[in-house]
Formats: sequence, structure tokens, C-alpha cells
Amino acid sequence: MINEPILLVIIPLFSGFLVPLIYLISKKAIKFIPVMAIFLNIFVVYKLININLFTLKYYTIGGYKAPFGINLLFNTQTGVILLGINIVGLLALLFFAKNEFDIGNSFAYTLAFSIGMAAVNGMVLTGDLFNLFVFMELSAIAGYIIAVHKKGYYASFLYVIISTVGSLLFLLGTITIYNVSGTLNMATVTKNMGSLTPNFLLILSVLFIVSLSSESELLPLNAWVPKVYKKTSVTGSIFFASIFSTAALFAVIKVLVLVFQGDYNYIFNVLTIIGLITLAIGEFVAFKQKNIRKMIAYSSIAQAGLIISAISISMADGAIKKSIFNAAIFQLFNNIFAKGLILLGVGLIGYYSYEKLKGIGTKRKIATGLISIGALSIVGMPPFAGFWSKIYLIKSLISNNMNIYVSIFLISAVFEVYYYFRFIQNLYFEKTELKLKLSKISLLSYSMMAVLSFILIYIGFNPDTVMKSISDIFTGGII
Amino acid sequence: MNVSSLIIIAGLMSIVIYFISKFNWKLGTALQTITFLVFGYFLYSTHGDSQSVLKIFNGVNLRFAISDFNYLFLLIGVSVMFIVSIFSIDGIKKFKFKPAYNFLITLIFVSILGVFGAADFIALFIFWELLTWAAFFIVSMGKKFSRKAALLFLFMSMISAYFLITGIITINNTIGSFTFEALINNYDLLTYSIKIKILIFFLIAGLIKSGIYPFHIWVRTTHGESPHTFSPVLSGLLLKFGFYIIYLISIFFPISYIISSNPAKLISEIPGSTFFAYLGGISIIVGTISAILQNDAKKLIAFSSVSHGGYILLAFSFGTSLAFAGGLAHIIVHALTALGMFLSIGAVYYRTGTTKIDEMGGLIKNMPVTFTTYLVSIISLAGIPPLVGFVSKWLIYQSLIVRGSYFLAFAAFFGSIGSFMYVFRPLAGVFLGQRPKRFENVKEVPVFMQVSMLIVTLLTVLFGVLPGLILKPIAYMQQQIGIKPIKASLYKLFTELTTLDMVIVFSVFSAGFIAALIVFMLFAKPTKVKQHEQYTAGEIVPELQTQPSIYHYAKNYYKPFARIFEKFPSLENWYRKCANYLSNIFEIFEEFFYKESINGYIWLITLTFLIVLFIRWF
Amino acid sequence: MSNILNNWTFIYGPLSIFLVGIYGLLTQKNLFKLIISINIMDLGVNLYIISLGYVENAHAPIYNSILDSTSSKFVDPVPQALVLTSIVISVAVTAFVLALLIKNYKKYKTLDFIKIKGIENDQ
Repeated sequence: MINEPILLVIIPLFSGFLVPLIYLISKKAIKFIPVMAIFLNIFVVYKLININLFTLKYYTIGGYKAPFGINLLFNTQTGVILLGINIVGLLALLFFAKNEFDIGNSFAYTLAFSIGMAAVNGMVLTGDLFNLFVFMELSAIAGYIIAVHKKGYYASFLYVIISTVGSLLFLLGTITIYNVSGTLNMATVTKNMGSLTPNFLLILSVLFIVSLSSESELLPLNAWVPKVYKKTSVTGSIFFASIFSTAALFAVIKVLVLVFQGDYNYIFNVLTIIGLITLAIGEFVAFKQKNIRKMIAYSSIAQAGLIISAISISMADGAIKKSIFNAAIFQLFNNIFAKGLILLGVGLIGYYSYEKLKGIGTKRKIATGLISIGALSIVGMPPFAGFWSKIYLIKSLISNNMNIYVSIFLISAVFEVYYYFRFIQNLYFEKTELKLKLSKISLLSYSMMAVLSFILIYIGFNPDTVMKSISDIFTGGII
Repeated sequence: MNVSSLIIIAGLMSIVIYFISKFNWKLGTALQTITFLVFGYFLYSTHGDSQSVLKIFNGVNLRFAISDFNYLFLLIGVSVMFIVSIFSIDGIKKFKFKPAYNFLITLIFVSILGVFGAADFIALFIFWELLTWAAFFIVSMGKKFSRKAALLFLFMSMISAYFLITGIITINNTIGSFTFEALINNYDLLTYSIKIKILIFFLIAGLIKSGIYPFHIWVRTTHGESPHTFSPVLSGLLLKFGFYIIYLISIFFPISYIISSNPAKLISEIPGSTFFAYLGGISIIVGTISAILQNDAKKLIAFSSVSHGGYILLAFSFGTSLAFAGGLAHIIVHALTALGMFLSIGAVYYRTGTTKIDEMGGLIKNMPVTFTTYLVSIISLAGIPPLVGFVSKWLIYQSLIVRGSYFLAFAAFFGSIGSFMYVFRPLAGVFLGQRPKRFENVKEVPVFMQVSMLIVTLLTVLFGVLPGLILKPIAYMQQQIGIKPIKASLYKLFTELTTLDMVIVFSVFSAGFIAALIVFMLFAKPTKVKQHEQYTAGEIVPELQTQPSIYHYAKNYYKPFARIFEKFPSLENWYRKCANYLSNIFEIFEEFFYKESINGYIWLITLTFLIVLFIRWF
Repeated sequence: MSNILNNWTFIYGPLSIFLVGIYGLLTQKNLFKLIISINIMDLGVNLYIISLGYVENAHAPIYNSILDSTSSKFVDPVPQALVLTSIVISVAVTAFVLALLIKNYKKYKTLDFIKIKGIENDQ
């Protein structure tokens, strides 16, 4: 019973329903509900991973077999991604429970976090296009609410508008696919897609490209990212940076691999170009930022661009180039933890502009040290996780002769190193503003950051193990 | 003791040193010094091949080796760190982040072991990157402008690192392995075009890191602004990393030729080898001239590092046995000289709080040991016998004469003479001349700092008189990498043109010195004058007491010379303009994509959609 | 003729409604009108979905005593289910965004986003 992946969706969803009930009893207690839910989730994921499934297994829902019913796709590799998302979710929710829970209005946010986690787990698991749409919408709604945390009204409004456009386009694409192939199941759809005329296919693919960009923070639908990241609470920005964007990217990858498998070069080339432009522009704009949250927002955009372009380059020309694909997933991993760590750390300190954060390293040594570990990992310094992801990426790209790609990647990387290191420098080496009130950071918070740093260092020292466990994420009769 | 265990122990020691330094910084630094000494001893006693594999990264085997080709580099690295560490026992007293500084210095030590001891390109690269970020943090600990300097250093280092990794992965792509051995064995798999690509990547990476023109812009600010105990490490070691890369790549490519004649054949084979020689020559000239124009002692020495880098590049690009040996010897010479100069300037800063030449003066009476170190270093820098600088310069000049290039010979001689111009200025400005009132009670630096400076002086003289001590290892090096080794005995140098017996030179020099001393003491007793009266020839100038820097002897020292170069285009300005231009473009991107109205965003979306559709449709 | 009518009713019609919605997003400056544009887009997409399920001369997909399971053609029920989901989602989002609108109005005292942008940039 406990080995059903659907539990990963049910538990947080159920806890979402519990929130209003418990709210009637005790207003304070609701903050623990999502925490417990995600804790249970991690337990379930762990058990599932231990079954050691290296091939993709289909879990049917409600007894309706594919292609009529909804399937969940799970294997050990997907489980690893779920583990990452849930761990960061747990830490973010702990942080929320401790620091940002405010009795007056947190009813809505607690609810939103629970439902958001349910939706995110669903997005990673599902194998059905419309189901993906529903989970995407669910996570988007949760996102709208989270974006409003700490008075981000206009930012959230913007997010709603842009995201709705994206989702409607996705819906159009899904329905068209249904019309053509008679099924909504991602894996089965490929069999029937071959009969489409090229033009039709084109429209379809473009619909998907544009629509999937919204949540995964690609150009041109990522205008909401800096505004939302800046205004929302820290938990919210962790959710957006690490959790939502990872799940959305993973969902995009899933759709690309399963639905558009085969000779659809045009889509992949377009995605590569969009991804590269996003990467370059994201890094260049991040370079100029003086507010840490906006900096991370743009960096997040750039990383999303990097991952999408790596994935789509690995799928162009028919066969999937596994090495690039795996390297991109490794980078996704690095992102989840490193971004979460930096945002958590900065949130614990409480200030977000360079001016205010000057020289904080002397006052909050451990926190700043851990934040620096996160930053070092994102830019790819040894001995942290990011170093290996960069090496694997460069290695796989050069062995496939993608020279222009490598140059754009490395040029953007130089700028990325520059602004992250400038950030760390600002933390340590400027004179502090004496009048700043700094709240005390509890042991629990330090241990949360320590967990994330430890994961980064662990991955840094065990690149092979991690690589083996994420490689071939979609094998087993599908590819 | 093999390198991998040394690396692990050093890594652990860095954490131990960090915590001990938190408790008592002197103890921590002392522990660091002892660690370096012990490691140096282990390295010294491991003469002969040793190989080891480091398996701390799961699934990645990093190979290390100590063998003739890197033994000397390892020794240089450890010795420099050791000497600087002795100096730091007192020298870091005024630093703000002492435990972190010690921790980072030990990390740099680890990366030195890792880079020089690597037998595997990935190991090289891992420790190269480690070095970059550790050095970044140390440089940031300096004075007010050190943040910007550190960022510039980081930027250039990352560019060099990315060229390096691209080259490394290109090698791996063709050969399938990262180890040096595999490269040697599979050399023939590389096509000519791939060889050229790899060569260019590695060379650019090395050139940026060594501060050769036109990549020398980071050298000035980084050296000038970094903490005073770190500048010697920067100049003496970090620049050498670049040369190590150039050295490595130039030995790998021809090693398969195996025949004992031409070394570095690829560098001297491709049409660009003369290019590199000229680049070296230009570096020498630019470095020398810029150094002459500097007012800050450390920036001056920074430019001298640029010009000496030019000498080394020049030597390496000739490809003859003599030149190669000269280049390697010059690496050692430059390390010692840079150490000497930076340590003495650091000592002066420790006591006076400034490095600007025109604020100081007359410190010779207060700081005799510092003065001696500096004097010996600059004599060696200028290549005057019987010090070690003469040995390398002599070898290089010999090869220049054999080769017969006019421009390069001019550049080399200009460098030597010009170098005396610029190094004399701090000597006169800091140690000789009028002493400002506020420095009247400046004392000599504490014991440990003196000890480290004395070690440097001693080594400079020792290697000068007995050049065989450095030339023999160099000969072994050359033998292993397939170059005809130069003949050298303990105190004689043999070249194609002539032989040189250093002991005779030394004895002649000492005889002359003693004779001059006797003459000095027997005749013309000097009249003792108060130190602040000797400059103005007795006239009383009131401003001298209040604003001594206006009439300072060293102020505008070379003004007529500087006037020649006033209107010259500056590479630094050009780079700065490019950076501003880029910065503005980035701001435009932000305006365009992210500050739109809602309508604007939807337009962007529709536009993308339409563009993607129509490109394919037509 | 009937083919053109078919196409217009089922495909181009809804899609043009969708395009009207996009036009609204492109040109309107009032936040409330943007919300209405989104609703129009939703309308268009939903119509398109339903219309895709239509089969000529087929019955509603409900079993009853008149039709038995072997003979008749049924209109595709899946799009109808999808549309229900979609409508619910758009209702929920509209409700939320209207509440957000009220909050925005209370904060910025205007519904013109150009003015809001101005206020935002000054902060």
C-alpha cells in the first residue's frame, strides 16, 4: 500500500484539506500540517526508491489501463528528483513555520504551500498530458497565492496574466494532439503523431514550446520572475526557484522526450536557441543587479535556459545524446539545492539589497559561510556539486562537437562567476552598517542550511554515484 | 610520501590550522610554517619517481606523480610558501580575518601540490579552480580597492580556466583519457588541426595567468591591492602557474619525437613561435616602461613581474636547450627576486603603513635588514653577478646571441637596463634620502620577518655562486622531457660559446668589494650630517617639515622619461571602455525584456510565436 | 459550403474568439479589461475543445433506453470532461484574480497599469 506513487500527491492534498479543519480548532497549529505532510512524502519516496526500479514503471490510477486511463511514471531516477524537491520543500516549510508564519493571514499560504507541493509531485509523476495540464494549473494557482505573500499584489497579477496565456496555449496544444491521436497518454501519443502534416506539427510544437516556457522561466514568458521573486516571501522564492521551476522543467523534459520523440528537429533547434538566449540574457541582466533576490531570479532564468537548451540539443537529430542529457539533469540537481540554500540563508538574515547586506559576514559567520558554499556550488567551484555538473556538461558538449554552444555557455559562466563572487565579497569584505537589526538564527535554521550544504558537498565528492543514479532517466522500453 | 597523501593531510591541516588560528593566530601561523617545512622535507627526500592516485572523488581517479619534470616546480612552490609563512608569523598582525587567511593559504598550498604534482589533467584543473577561488578571497582581504582588483583577477582567471578546460576536454575527446601518460602514448591520434586548437587553448590560458601582454592588466591592480603577505605568493607562484601550463604543453607535444635534439618543437615549429617570442619581448618592454612610471612600490614590482614573465616566455619560445634552461632558471630567479622585493616592501608597510614611495625616505638606518634584502634582490633582478639573476640572464642572452634576432636582443637588454631604473627608485625613495619626521622612530621588523628575508638573501647569493644547485635539477628535467640537457657542474656553466666559472666571478667580485671597502675606510672620513639636512644642501625649506612629499627625492623621479609616454594608448583604458560598453548593453537588455508593460510582454510572446512559425514556414 | 460553415463554427470561430482575447491583452491598459480578455480567451479555448469532439449525426454520449450500446455513434465524451475541468479552473482563477484586483486597487488607487508601473518604479 505504501508503495504507490500516487501517495505523493494524495498526502499533501489531503493535508491541504485538513488545514481549514484544524484552523477551526487552533489557528497556530496549521503551520505544522504541511511540514508533516512533506515529511511523510519523503518517507514514501525513500521507500519507493529502495525498490530499485531502473526501468520506468507505469502505475495506473483507478484501474483504467493506458491509453484510456491516467498513468503515473515512476522509476528510481524520477524518485531521486522527487526526493530533492521534497527535501527542499520540507526545509522551506520548516523555515516558513518558524519565521514567516503570521496568524493573521497565513491560512491561505499554508493551504497554498500544501497544494503546491501536491501539484509539484504530480507534475513530476504524471504520464498523461491533460493530467499534466491540471497539475500545472494547480501549481500555478498555488503559485499565484504564494506570490502574494508579503504584499506582492501587482507582481502576482502579472504572473497570473502571463501564466494564463501560457496554460491556454498548452491546452490548445493538448487538445489538438488528442484530436489527432485519440489519446492523451504521453507515451502512446507518439505512435499516432507520424501522420500529421509538417505544418500542423509545426503549429503544435510551437504551441508547446511557448506554453511550457511560463512556469519553467524561459523567454519570452519569464517577465514575471524578477518581480515575483522580489516581492514574495523567502519561502515563496525558495518554492519558485527550487521547486516549481524544477518540476516544470522536468515536466517540459518529459513532454519533449515522450511526446516529441523522433525526428522533430525544428522544435529542438528552436528550443535550443530560446534556451541559449535566455541563458545569455539572464546572466547579463543578473550581472547588473544589486538586490540579491532579483539576482537569483535572473540566475534562475539563466539556469532554466541552460538546462532546456542542453536537453533539446541532446534530442536533436533523432537519437538522444545521453551524456548531455544526463549532465543537464545533474545541473538541475545542483540548482535545486544550491538556490534553496542561498535563499534560505539570505532569508534568515533578513535583508536583500547589497547596501544592507554589506559586511554581514562578520556578524553572522556560519550563515554567511553556508551561503557562500551555495554560491560556490552554483558557479561550479570544486569540491562542490556544481563543479562536476559543469565538467560533465562541457565534456558531453565538446564530444558532440557543439562548439558554439560551449562558447556561449562558458562566456555566460564567466559573468555568472563574477556576480556571485561579487555577492560573496559584499557579504564579507565591506564595512557593515552598524544600525541593522539582525534577528537571531536558531539552531534549527542552521541545521537546515547545514543539511543543504552537506548534500552539495556530498554530491561534490560522489559525482559518479549521483551520475549513475540519474542517468537513463527515461529508459525501459520508452527510448 | 606521495602527493596524494600529502594533499589529503594538507587539506585536513587547513581545517586544523583554521581552528587553532581562531584560538591564537601566532600559534596557527607557526603550525602552518612547520607543516610547510615538513612537507618540503618530504618532497625533497622523494627524489625519484613516485606515483599515486587520489580517490576522494567517487568514481574519479586523480593521478599524481613526482618526477623530474615537476620536481623543481614543486620545490619552488613549497619553498616560497614556507618562506612567506615564516614572514606571516608576524606579518599578518594587522589583518582582519586571520584564521580565514591561514585557512586559505593552506588551501593554496594544497592546490600548489595538486597542480604541480598532477599527472592527470582533471586533477590539474580541480586544483587550479581551487586556487582561483582561494586566491580571490585572499586578495579581497586587502585595502579599499582590493574588492575590484579581486574581481578583475577572478574574471581573468575564469577566462583562463575555461580555456584550459576546453583544451583539456578536447584532448580527452580525441584520446579518451585525461592522464599525461595517455597523451604521450596516443600522441599520434591527434590531427594537426586538433593539435593547433589544443595548443592555442592551453597557451592562452597560460598567458592570461602569467600576465603576459596583452593580458597583463590584472597584474597591476591585483598585486597592488592584495594583502602584503600575499603579494609575494601571487608574484612568485601564481604567475608561475601560467608558465607551468605553457611548459607542460610544450613538453607534451614533442615528447613523442623523443629524439634528444629540439625540445619545445611545436612551439618553435608553428609559424607562431616567433609570435610568442615577440609577445615576450613586448611584455618586457611594456612592463619595464610601465614600472618606471609607477609611484606605488607594489605596483612597480607588479609590472616588473610582467616584464620578467616576458623573459621567461621569450626563453621558452626559442626552443633551444640553452634557452629552455634559461627560462626555467629565470622562473626560480624571478620567484626569489619577487619574494625579496615584496617581503621587504611588506616589511616597510608593516612598520610605516604606506607603500607610496614619495611618502617615505631614509629608512636605511631604521631597517637595515630590510634594506639589505631589497638591495640584494634588485641587484639580482638586474642580472649583475655574482647573484643568481646573472645566471639566468646570461643563459638567455647566450641563446639570443645564437639566434640573432635584433628586436628581441634589444628588448632583453632594454629590460635589464630599464629594470635597474625602476628598481632603484624605491631603493632611493624608501631607504635613502630624507627621512620624514613621522618615521623617525620606526623600528626594524620583528624577528620572524627578518629571518624570512635573510633566507631569501642567502638563497640569492648561494645560488649565484653555486648555480649548479639549480642547474643540475634543470638538467635532469630537460633529460626527462627529451631536451638535450645543459652541462653544468656545481659552480661552472657550460654553453656552446663559452664556460663560466662562478666561483672565479664571485672571488673577483668579493676582491673588488673588499678593495673598495678598504679604500672607503682608509681615506676621506665622511662628515656626519643630520639626516634631514642632507637633501637640501643646508638650505632650510619650511615645507619639508610639513609636507615632505612635495620635495621628495623620488617624486616625479622620472618625469622627463614619463613625458615621452604621456599620450600613449593604454591597454587598461581600452579594456575599461569595453567593460563599460558591455555594462550598458546589459542594462539595455534589462530595459527591453523586463521592464515592459503587460501589453509589451504579450507582444513579446506573440512575436516569438510568429517568428518561430514563420521561419519554418518560409 | 457546409464544410466552410463547419470549419468556421468549429475551428476558426473559437480560435478567433481566442484571438480577440489576445488582442485585448495586447491593447488594454485597464487591469479589469485584462481580466475580461483572459475570460474571453478561456471562452474561445473551451469552445474549441468542445467542438473538436463533435461527430456528425451522433448522439450525446449518454446511454438510455432508446439507444443501446451497439448501434449508435456517440459524440466524444472526453473533451466534454476536459472542458468541465477547464471551466472550473478558469472560474477559480478569475475569482482569485478579481480579489487580487481589489487589493491592487486598494494599494495603488488606480486600475491603470501604466500608473501602477510608475508608482512601482518610484518605490
